[in-house]
Amino acid sequence: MSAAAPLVEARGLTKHFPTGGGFLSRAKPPVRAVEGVDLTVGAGEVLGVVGESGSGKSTLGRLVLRLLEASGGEVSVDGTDLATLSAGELRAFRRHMQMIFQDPFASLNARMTVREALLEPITLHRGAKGREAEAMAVELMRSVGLTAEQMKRYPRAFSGGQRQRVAIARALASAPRFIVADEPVSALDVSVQAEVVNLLQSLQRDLGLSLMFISHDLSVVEIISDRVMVLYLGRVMEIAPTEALYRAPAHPYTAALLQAIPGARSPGDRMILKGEIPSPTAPPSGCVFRTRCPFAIDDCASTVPTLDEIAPGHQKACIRDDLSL
Amino acid sequence: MARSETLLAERPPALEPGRVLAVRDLQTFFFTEAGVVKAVNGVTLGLAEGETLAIVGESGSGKSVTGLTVMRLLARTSGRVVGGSVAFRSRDGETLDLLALPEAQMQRLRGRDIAMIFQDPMSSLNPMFTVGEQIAESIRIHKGRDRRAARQEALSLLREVGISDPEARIRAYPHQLSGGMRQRVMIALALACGPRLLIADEPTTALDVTIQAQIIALLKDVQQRHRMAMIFITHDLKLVGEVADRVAVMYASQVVEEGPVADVLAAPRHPYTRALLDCIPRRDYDADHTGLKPIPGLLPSPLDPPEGCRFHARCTFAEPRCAAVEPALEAVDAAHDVRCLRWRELSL
Ligand SMILES: Nc1ncnc2c1ncn2[C@@H]1O[C@H](COP(=O)(O)OP(=O)(O)OP(=O)(O)O)[C@@H](O)[C@H]1O
Ligand SMILES: Nc1ncnc2c1ncn2[C@@H]1O[C@H](COP(=O)(O)OP(=O)(O)OP(=O)(O)O)[C@@H](O)[C@H]1O
Ligand code: SF4
Ligand code: SF4
Ligand SMILES: [Mg+2]
Ligand SMILES: [Mg+2]
Repeated sequence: MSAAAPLVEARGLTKHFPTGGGFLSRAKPPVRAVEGVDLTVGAGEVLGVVGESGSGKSTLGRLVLRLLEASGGEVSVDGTDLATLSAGELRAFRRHMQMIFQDPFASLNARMTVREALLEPITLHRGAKGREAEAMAVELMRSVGLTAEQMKRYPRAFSGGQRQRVAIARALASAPRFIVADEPVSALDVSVQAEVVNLLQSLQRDLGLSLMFISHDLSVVEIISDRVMVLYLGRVMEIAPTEALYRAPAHPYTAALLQAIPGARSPGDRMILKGEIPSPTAPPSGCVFRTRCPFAIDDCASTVPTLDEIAPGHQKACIRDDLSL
Repeated sequence: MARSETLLAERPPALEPGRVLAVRDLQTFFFTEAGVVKAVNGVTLGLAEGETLAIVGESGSGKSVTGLTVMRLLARTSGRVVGGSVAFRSRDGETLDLLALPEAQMQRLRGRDIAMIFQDPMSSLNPMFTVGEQIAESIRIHKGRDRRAARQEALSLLREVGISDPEARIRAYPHQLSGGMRQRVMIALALACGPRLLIADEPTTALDVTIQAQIIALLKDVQQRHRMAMIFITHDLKLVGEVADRVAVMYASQVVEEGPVADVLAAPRHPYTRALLDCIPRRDYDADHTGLKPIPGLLPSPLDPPEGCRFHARCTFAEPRCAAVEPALEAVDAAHDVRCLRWRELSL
């Protein structure tokens, strides 16, 4: 990462979803999906985001793109504070930041041919028309390994992997600088997954894209990310350069996640977390991980750990410094 | 799927001592409007008592249909067994020809001798009944217990599969449980009658790695305590080394390689197995490269399987004859089979 200001900078991002209650009935506690997350993504950098289901990965991704209004905190992209943009300005600004989803159908209109799906953002955001726009669309198809011929088809005529390629092409159509990819390969077979990961990685490098890569698959995150953030109950447990995080995790939760990767350890030698992620409507006091942490001590129930730097770029939120994981 | 519908009735299935299951050259087709879906078209595999066999393969390769055929659960579909045999040793030590067994007898076997955990737990749990009622019901039917006793057994089963506060959870409806919890209930249900063979179809696919590790540990534990054989269906080759003694690799409705896990993963003999292994993400920090090698092309349609070797269009080692000659499953050694014309000459 360069010393220049990061392309994406978020501070104190928080999202509380209200639950039921309201008029006449007693207000219920909100779902604390994301709680005070700071992050940066440098130009051309890939930030991986991992954590169990319900840890707040997707919510965080949507907050960063302001696809969801935050309950607190701020995001700036390329120096622009997203909160200051009007609805119209935000729409125009979206060309710089795009999202890719797990289910490509979510981002593709079934009634639009691929050609139409690509031409829309090209004309809207890049102001190209006619032959010029058409040529751009063909070029996009090529860049994701599809042919101009295939542009005439509808999304359902593509296999899962090809559909994800189309979704990537569409995300690239506005020439964005920042992409949030939310579980883009999780629904794919391993052979197809390899193909899409390779594609994303080469595009990211060739175009110098900044990427937030969300996944619960730690092996995929490892190969694509420069840095990795570990979320639990909406809070950052650890963030570090990829190699440091995978070779020497400093937080018990990270260690448990890594040891759970099939084949990473002999099963007898593995820390198996008990129970499941608690409800985000009533997170545990102190360290939110303490109800499942094998190393929890009394202080963990009363002290909220701060995210402390333990090495350059490596931070962990755990009050114990005496653990060897 | 009565006997009259199977073609290979002449060949009586046999089982060597110590084996629970032998599936030979199984063929299960679906007769649909779009044509004949050859979902299982050459599956041979076997299982010794207490052993775990993993079936691994891409989506659509025929893993689930193989499991459903052994369970004889295709009656309400357009699926028919058109060839092959399935021999099973019951808990009384009798060798049964599962494809020829009258449905009434098969029904007694299901749950009691062979149980299955289905790929989608929500579709196999009844949303209208509490999990306790569903487990107790199975115990009542198969073990002839009265209500009270069945409920007590259901409680202790829920406890055995690691469900905390089973007294409360026994009254929960399936939708009130998390994915991991539901999978534990499925395991409890499958274990209710102490089966000799458990077919677990992707029991951890929808779960987080942390919960997956819990469920795998649980399955291995109950398997050891009940001396139960298990077929573990998965598309995740990384899991195979962890759960299984043996592995059968499926490609386009066929078993293309089968053998001891250590041999197959360390020294695969089929180009497809090699290719699958090369797709697994593994970061090499020194090389700073992913090294991911996708398999070009797509799984062929089971409506119209290619001539010759099914893998030839995607195989880096294909020769002209691979498009014409269909390879047979051949023995590499006593414990390891492979379906490739070139296995003797290739070093993968
Ligand atoms: N619109 C919403 N209303 C209420 N709660 C929500 C909403 N969206 C998400 N949540 C809750 O917020 C928490 C975080 O959800 P989120 O989808 O961000 O998790 P995730 O890490 O992406 O999980 P997964 O791996 O399952 O995709 C969960 O408890 C979820 O139920
Ligand atoms: N009831 C059915 N009617 C018609 N075709 C079917 C039926 N069930 C399965 N098939 C087809 O049989 C083939 C094998 O399906 P199967 O479910 O066994 O695949 P699988 O290996 O379990 O895949 P996955 O990993 O996606 O679960 C597929 O082409 C599928 O579409
Ligand atoms: S603060 Fe305590 S409970 Fe939290 S991770 Fe550290 S040791 Fe575990
Ligand atoms: S038979 Fe030919 S095409 Fe098939 S796996 Fe062997 S070498 Fe490849
Ligand atoms: Mg998500
Ligand atoms: Mg299946």
